[in-house]
Amino acid sequence: MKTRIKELRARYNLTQDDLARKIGVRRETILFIENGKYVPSLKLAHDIAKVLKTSMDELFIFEKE
Amino acid sequence: MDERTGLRAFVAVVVVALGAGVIFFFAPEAAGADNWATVMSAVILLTMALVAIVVARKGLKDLKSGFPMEDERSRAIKTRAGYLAFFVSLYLILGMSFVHAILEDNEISSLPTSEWLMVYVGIMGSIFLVLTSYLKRKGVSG
Repeated sequence: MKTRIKELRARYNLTQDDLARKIGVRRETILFIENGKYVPSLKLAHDIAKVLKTSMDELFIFEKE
Repeated sequence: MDERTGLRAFVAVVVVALGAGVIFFFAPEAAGADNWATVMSAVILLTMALVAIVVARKGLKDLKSGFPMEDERSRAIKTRAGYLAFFVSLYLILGMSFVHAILEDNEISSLPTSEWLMVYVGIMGSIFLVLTSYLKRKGVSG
């Protein structure tokens, strides 16, 4: 799974710490999601998309394995 | 204490616990104590207290910085580590019980069952801690 979190964070000038605080998770969780090492729950994905003012479709890119 | 220092302390505690377990298991006479159950209980309690202190300090630091002590990823790690520790422990305890039975059958001096149980608990706890630490680094699927 790839994400556009890093790109959108940069657009809104948010650090991983800022994003983590806004959605109430630990910083490592954002780091692992960005690196595609953790697949977030639907709720967390929704919360991230909301903070980054985008849709989940735009945020997460799923690739066939 | 930063994350790296906390992790080092965590690993040191696990190593001490495992080392104490090994001494307890292989060389009871080396420590010169009569009641090894008491010694092992003290080691387990001390380990639990040290782990609790490290975890609490890190948690308080996170809370002060505005992060939660636990989120969905850390819960997923705990669940996965618990699941794996359970199955690894099952096979390990099965193997150790087999060794224990052979020792008893051959009338070779071995630990009493109550003390073996403490070793099992120590091993299960250590496996859980090591797996948790490993999964925190490696990552776990949601």
